[in-house]
Amino acid sequence: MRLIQYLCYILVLSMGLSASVFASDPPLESVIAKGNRYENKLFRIRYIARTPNQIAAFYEARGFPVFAINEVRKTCFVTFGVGNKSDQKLYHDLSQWQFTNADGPVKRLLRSDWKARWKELGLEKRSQSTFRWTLMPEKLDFYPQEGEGGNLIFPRTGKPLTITAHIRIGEGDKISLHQVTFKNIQCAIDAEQRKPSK
Amino acid sequence: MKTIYSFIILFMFSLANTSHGESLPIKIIPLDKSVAANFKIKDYDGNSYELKSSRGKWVFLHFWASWCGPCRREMPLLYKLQKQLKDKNIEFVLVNTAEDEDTIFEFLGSVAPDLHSYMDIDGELTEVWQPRGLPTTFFIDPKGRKRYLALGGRPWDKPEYQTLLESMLAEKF
Repeated sequence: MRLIQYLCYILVLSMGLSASVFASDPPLESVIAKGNRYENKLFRIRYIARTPNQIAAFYEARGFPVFAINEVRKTCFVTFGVGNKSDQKLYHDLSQWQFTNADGPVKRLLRSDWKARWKELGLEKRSQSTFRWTLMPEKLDFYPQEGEGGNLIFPRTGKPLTITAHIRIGEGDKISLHQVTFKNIQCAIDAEQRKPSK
Repeated sequence: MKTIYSFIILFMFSLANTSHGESLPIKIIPLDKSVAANFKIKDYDGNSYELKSSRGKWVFLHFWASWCGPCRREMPLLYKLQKQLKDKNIEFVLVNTAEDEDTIFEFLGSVAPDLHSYMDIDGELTEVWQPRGLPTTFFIDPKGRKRYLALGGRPWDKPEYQTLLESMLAEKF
């Protein structure tokens, strides 16, 4: 009887040990995207760099005044889209993403930066609301099959950007972590600004 | 034997506790049944609407904007759905996010002239409700509780969505 008791203790202990081994960091998949999109069986992500003319046309059509159009024209808009293809929740948090160029980290223009700027310029609340809706959500848990997106905005520096997106899928022991790096993202320029190729 | 009975009872209970079964159509999210905060909003003719006036009815609360592509595509379907359910216990409350009355009037005139929308002029109501994107629809039950969220434009004429609407409207309160 004693022997059986000891065996049970050993069994419980070994189960605890193996559980702690399995409870280590979830697997991380790290990829460098070819071009402007990446897709696996769990999610898809892509970006499009917008030209100042495209951005101006979009906001002009929404009734934005000239001073606001001039303000957005000065910056670099990159529209990102993320789609959850899995049957679990996908967790997105922009504070986990990395933005760099040849000089090091790049600070994107945040909602709070825009809020302050719009207040300073006197942009009406209606347009401010529309503007916020066009930004990439800061944090969102995507339901299965849900897709959302929006703009990330940077100061124009003329230097290509590298953006590393971090995505977490699932909960508990089913978590998987994904890191997708997009290199050489050029802030788009209008056709008339492009130098003619030799 | 006792264990088997307990298991069966538990299983039955879990089924009974899930309204409309587990098979919700794609992109329909069950909500926590918290009571929706009341709000007041006006349409372009100055008529007011207050959420609490819809107690006793389901509310199809739909946030949209003319600049969003999926909203444009969904509008004719919403119009058909509203016509189909006009005698049912459900009220359609469309809320335009932060556009002016000319834009709304012109837009609805071109895609669904008989649809009526309220105006969230400065976008503040939309901020409170935090739809995950546009369009988004919240279903509020006759007791004023948030029950479902429909992500993006939905094909409301498809059988699975029609079944959901039928089962919602058949619920007893």
